[in-house]
Amino acid sequence: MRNYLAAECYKVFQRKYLYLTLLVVLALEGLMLWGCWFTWSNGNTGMDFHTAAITVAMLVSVGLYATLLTGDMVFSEQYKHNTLKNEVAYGLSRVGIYLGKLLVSTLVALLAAAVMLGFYLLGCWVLLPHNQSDAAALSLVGYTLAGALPLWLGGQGVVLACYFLVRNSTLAAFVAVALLGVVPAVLQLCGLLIHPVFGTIRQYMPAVLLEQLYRYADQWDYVVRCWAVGLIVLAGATLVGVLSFRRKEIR
Amino acid sequence: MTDTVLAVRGLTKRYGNHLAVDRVELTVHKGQIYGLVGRNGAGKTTIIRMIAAQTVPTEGEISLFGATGKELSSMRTRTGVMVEIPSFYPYLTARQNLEYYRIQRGIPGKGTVEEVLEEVDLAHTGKKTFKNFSLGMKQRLGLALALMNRPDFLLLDEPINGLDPEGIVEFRNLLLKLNRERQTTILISSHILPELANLATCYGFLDNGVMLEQISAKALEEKCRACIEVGVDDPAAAALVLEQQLELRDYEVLPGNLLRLYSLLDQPQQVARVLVEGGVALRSLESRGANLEDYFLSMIGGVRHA
Repeated sequence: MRNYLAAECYKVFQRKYLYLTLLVVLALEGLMLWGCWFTWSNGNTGMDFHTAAITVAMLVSVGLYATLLTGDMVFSEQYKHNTLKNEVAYGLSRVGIYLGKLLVSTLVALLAAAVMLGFYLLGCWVLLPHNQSDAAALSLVGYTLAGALPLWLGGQGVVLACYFLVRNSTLAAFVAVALLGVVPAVLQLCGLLIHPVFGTIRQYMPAVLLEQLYRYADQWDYVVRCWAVGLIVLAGATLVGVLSFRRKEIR
Repeated sequence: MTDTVLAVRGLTKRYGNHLAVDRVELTVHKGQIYGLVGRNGAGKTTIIRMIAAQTVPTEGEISLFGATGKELSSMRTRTGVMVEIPSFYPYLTARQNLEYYRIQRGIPGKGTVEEVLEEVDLAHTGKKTFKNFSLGMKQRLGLALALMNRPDFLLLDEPINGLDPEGIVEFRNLLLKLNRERQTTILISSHILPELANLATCYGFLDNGVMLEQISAKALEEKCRACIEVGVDDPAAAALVLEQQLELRDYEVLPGNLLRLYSLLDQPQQVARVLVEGGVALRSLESRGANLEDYFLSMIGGVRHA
């Protein structure tokens, strides 16, 4: 397994994909930081570290869909390139292949998240004025990240299962988006039209939990719920993915 | 200690209603070069893919180096596989692709990649990525991957597709060298039967997913030997006449009142005349002899795409 993880990391870090993605995101963050700094330097006293930093808490939902990119970076369209046959033919276990890719995509996702968040928060810290609300902003960011992390992991599990089970990567991405983003909307509709129980189920969907995270600031039982849901989604998606991949035809 | 490298028993693969491989039995012994012969859709690739764990058999058992079931996976590390067109990451170079698999497989020594690239004449490809390779270069890289772990058993499916004539000769020589110097056992399928005839020490003939015959190259050569086949009413009398009149020694008597003569190949009229004059009733006389292609075509019952 160690060799497999090392090889997957080698592949990801040899490609331009990760670096280009980071470059684009960091450029957008840079633009946002420049906008905040420009607003403040032109006399808007409402713009400070607190105001800019808490944007992170409101944008954690984006992280759920960013797992589509990290999953794609690691899975690397293996069905399209027919490269999985090289792995199974050498006797690598299919469960090992699946879990190896899940671990590396999680690692890459965490690394990318650390770089993106670090860059933005450090930029806010350096460029914008500070006051007594700094600690509150950092606390809110810490709280939302603590709740978002397991939900992102769950999202990564769903995305990778889709990449393993659907041969076409574009279709796999659509299925993942449907499961993560469209199902809650459908459940909401069913809750209104059919039975309220659908609305209750919707409350436990990762996308919904993420959307509401900053509204429940400092309610740590909500974070516990996020961890429970995130880990259940991760385990469920991985179980389905592994069981299906074990007998999948490799071309 | 058994010298059986691969044993396949009752191997069956069904896709819906289509029976791709039907209870195939196949044995490859250490040091053999086993040629799998069959036309398109005969089941050659499906068999190789089942051996290489790319598809799960519907029924049957595969044994590699005596291991079956869960132990089979660990034995696959002693194999090198190249099935159909080699597949690699298109955005990586030959070196990067091989380095990726070297790390993944835990093969020691960074120099291994260079060595194997030299071996298949791809050391000069530099920063050229796999997507820009010609088909021949892709085939060579596929072979490099198959050879990287110094396998005891090579599984090759249509490996010379896309190679130019010079490449085919180099490829053949490389396989023969591996077989001779490292005792690498090889299972190879190919449409190019004359090329297979230059390599194989044993053949398996497949048609419609069924193994028709397994035969050694020596036995096949014997079967395909050029001869005159004579049908007579009394083979003993015919043999006596031919021995006395034409001093024939190299012949055999077959069931069905047939005589196979391995000399006098350029004198069929004289054979016929001597037999008739000796009072033997001659029913048929035919010059025979076949190569691998003819033999295979006669086996599947006519000219189809081999």
